[in-house]
Amino acid sequence: MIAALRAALRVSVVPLLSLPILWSMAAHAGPESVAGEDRLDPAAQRYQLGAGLPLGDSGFTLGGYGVASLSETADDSNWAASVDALSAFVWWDGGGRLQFFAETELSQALVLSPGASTTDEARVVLERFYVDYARSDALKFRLGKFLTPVGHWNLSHAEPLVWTTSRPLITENTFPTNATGAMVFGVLPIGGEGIDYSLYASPSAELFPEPGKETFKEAYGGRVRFSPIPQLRIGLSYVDFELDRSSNERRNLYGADFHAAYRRYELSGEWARRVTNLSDGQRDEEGGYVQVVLPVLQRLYAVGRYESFQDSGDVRDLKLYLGGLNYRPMPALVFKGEYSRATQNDIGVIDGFKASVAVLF
Amino acid sequence: MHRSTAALPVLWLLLGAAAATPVCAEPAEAAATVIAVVVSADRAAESLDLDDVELIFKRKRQFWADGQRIQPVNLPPEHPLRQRFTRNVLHQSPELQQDYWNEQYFQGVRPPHMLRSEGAVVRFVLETAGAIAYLPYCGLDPRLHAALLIAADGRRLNPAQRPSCS
Repeated sequence: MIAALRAALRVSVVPLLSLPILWSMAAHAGPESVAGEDRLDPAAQRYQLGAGLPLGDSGFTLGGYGVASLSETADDSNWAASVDALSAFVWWDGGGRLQFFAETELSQALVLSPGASTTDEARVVLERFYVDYARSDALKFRLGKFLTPVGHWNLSHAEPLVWTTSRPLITENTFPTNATGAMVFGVLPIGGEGIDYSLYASPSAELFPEPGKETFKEAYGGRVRFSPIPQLRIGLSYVDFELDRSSNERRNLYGADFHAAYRRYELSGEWARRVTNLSDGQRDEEGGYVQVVLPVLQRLYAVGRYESFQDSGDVRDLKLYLGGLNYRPMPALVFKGEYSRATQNDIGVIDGFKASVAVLF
Repeated sequence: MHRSTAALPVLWLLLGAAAATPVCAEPAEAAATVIAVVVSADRAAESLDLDDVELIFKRKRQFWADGQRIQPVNLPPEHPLRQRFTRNVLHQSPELQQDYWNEQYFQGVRPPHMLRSEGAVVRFVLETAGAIAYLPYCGLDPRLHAALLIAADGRRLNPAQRPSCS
């Protein structure tokens, strides 16, 4: 069954993903076209930093983000600077039920270190590539490569959207960040925020996997997010999966996350536990973080984060403490500086000073 | 005792007059802050509540019940009505709203179109199928259909209670 699904997906993904491009040629002149309103609304055609560039009345929008960083490790004071990511989005929305989204990233385009510079680490990564069909707001279908719906950070990981240059450990290596397959998702109209849900199956190998990165061999999961009160969002995630590199080990990941915001204050956190079932027993990996953001000046924020992480091979919990500042001169541009220190660091997590500038195009 | 008895008919008269007045009439100063959520003529039969409006203007609801795309339209961020609507209906501060749209942009969702003036909003709603917008209730163009009235504090007003703007 699984093998058949995999084969079907391999055969069907590429032709299906090309459909919206063909569709757009015919659909953008249809009765549901937004062309009429664009004529009424010249602002919709004007480029704004952080809002993307609509390509006329075609339904296509171009956008993206870029990030450059500087880091110095706490132990040996070695510094490195790099252009971490230049990410380009293109999406199509012709005003009907079909939509298309793709994100391609040029990562590590340039790396500078004492006495050296290289572009050898540069690689192009296909981050997302999918087609959506909306039966209704509550019932949508997605086919392609998408971000794994686990936690809040992974789904909004773009540097201009997050408060720190470094990513919390539990959001990075405990599960593959991308999945290829099919998803059913939507918003249930309960309350003013609705309840977001997604159920997905990734029965196949990843589409254009990033070299050296862990990928799913297969995965089945779901996520739900709701707001019990307007400024609080709570998410729950679950995924049952096998990794490509260790396909005989079945893993189950349970996650919870929250995000509370009041005016310019923010408190957020995530927790996840991954249980690996082995022939000789069970091995767990678990971790989480709590992060607080406080306004200091009009456009300056202080950020603090505490992380706890237990790698599957370790007995001791790693603790990581991070403090930093964010300067946001405009909504699409952010300068960050932070210092982190890890204790009981048995897995060699790189801590120290990091700074970055990130912009949403 | 005698004075109280004499005052009774006057009291009844006053109560009767009060009962004859539409119970929902809002004071003029309150009516001036009432927000009318207006929809295009083809959507005049739509029944909306505050949650629907919040979902629509957050682009979490993008389709009318028959599958037509909803075309929401915003006033500029600095417009007082937009600020009141954002705070009391969408429950967002300006900063949170910006963060929200940045996140949505990362998912390929753009905010509602923005028009520079209330006059442009009126024209948009009159000319665009599936359109929805918000405007001041007092002075509302009679050609527009108000699907929902919202008090200054974000409360939904009973449709039978038409505030007096005079």
